[in-house]
Amino acid sequence: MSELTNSPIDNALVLLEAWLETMRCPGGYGGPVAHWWQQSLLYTGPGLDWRYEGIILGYLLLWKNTGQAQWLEKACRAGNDLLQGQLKSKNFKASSFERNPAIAGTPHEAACDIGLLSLALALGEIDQPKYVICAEQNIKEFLIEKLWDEQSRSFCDNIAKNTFVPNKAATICEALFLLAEVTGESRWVDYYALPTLNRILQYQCGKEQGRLEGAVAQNSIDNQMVLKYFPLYNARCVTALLKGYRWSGQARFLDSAIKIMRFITSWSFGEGSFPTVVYSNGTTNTAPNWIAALGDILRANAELATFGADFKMDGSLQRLLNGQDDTGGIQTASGFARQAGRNRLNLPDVRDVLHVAGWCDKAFRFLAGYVSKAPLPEATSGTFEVACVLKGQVLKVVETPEFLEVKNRQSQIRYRWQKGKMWPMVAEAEFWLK
Amino acid sequence: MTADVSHIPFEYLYALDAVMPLLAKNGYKTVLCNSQELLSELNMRLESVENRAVGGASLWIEPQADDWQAQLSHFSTLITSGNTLLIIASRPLARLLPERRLWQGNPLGLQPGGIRQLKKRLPLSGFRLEAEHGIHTLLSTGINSFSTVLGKAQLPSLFDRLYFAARLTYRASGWLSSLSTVSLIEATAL
Repeated sequence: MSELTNSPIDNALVLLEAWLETMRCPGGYGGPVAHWWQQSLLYTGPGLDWRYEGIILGYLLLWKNTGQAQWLEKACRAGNDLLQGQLKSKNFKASSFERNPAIAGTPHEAACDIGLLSLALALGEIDQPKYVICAEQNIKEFLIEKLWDEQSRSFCDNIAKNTFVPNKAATICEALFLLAEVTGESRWVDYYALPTLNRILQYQCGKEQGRLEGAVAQNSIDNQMVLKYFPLYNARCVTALLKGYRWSGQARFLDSAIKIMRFITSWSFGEGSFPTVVYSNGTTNTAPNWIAALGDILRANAELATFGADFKMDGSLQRLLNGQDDTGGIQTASGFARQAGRNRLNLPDVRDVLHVAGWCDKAFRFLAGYVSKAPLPEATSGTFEVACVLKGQVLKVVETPEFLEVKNRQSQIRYRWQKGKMWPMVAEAEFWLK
Repeated sequence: MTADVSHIPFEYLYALDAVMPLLAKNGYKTVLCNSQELLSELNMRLESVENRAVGGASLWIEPQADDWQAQLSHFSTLITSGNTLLIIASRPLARLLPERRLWQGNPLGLQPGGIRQLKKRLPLSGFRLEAEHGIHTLLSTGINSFSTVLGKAQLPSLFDRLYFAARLTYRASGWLSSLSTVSLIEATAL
């Protein structure tokens, strides 16, 4: 009998997990955040946001695929972070990712609910109620009480109920499918999730829109659609639509999911990356161009493949794996420095090379689904150093298991975060980046 | 993103975040917040930071027109040599922020010349001005307004590029800092 050998995914996964452990801090997983909308380079404490979706689901997959109890323990530890971080309002502390430490983050709190409810389902009746209660309270008192709009029969993105964001509503739907499964009460889906999914379909481009066919518009404000199409966010609609199809048997949900993935893959660049945005006039924006977040696109594609729709994404998997460095973290993106102009220095932006828990969780969750049968190897997070740029200034980033430090050419520390701390010890003004 | 309804204009949150590394580094000595509306955001951030009897930076939020001199002299007696006083104050342009129109109090910084008066008084009270930052600059507001026009003109890619350019000019020091909605001042006790 031949000995089982580890796959590149096994090796990447254990290294990524080792890095994730370095991001533990009192109350959860911390670290700075780089994002399209905004940055959170100053608040580095625990973020009870969508990172918990990928972290909990990733650990549960690892447990399921390896049978090793340690992974379930880590999934429970993450679930307990959420229990302890739930506020009287039933929101979660620091749940706004790039706007942390703000609360009431969307789709972040719904993503936390997905983590909690998946954990409850995995645990069966043992220890399940506390996670269900936590998620159900958030769903009832925040998502339904504050964001449900009876008139449009869908979840809005603000209390004024004049904005609708399909991918965020899709995440809420996913939480509701799980709540229905856990409680056995179909009303969560029939009354809330399916009508919301129907509204998402209204945001999908038809055949007449040529290459945009299948794309879901990013959002609407006062019923005015914003005609920007984000492949990553579109992918996050796919998994909810598939749940809608599974639940209702309505073919339009499956059809819509397939069209979304066709749209995404049709805009793929050769090396497996996608534009961050495709605009209605056919132009694209690749500043930044996601790496760790590709996990969510790959996951949506893999889930769709179980319905027989197979789109090739080998290049994307390779891009994801190539984004891993010696820390074990997977880098956020390429191209941040080109956002507002040219990158004359041709160096990565600091935000490109940051390892962000709320992006790496997506890679972690995807990779955890593909571990081989061989026992997983041991791994240790190492040190990573790279020259990069921020606002035109050449800098050097160093990350170790203990700290993240950025120095300028004169070796002056411009930014230093001791892992585990809520705020960096040094953050010069260029790091107060919005 | 957040669906929070705290109604606090972003520049105040940005200023609070900006001072946190200094307050967290060695713990804080004194925090005086004259703006009721910012208290919960401030407390949320201070939760994890140590309050120290000796040393540490101090924070003064929204000095008021009627008693700022008394409060400044109080700080000058409290803060020992070499320690930092951080001041977050609205500027006259903050009057344009719809979310803060109902805020209470009579901030010094909202008055024309109010911040200048405060800065002049710092050395007389035993402080050296180290840095001044303007947050939410007029330049970034202008770029954002232009980008909104482009967005309406169905030029979304240009809209985004300008939006990012506006982000880069959101904070400024030097003369640009006076044309902003919020001021963040850093001073050291002599």
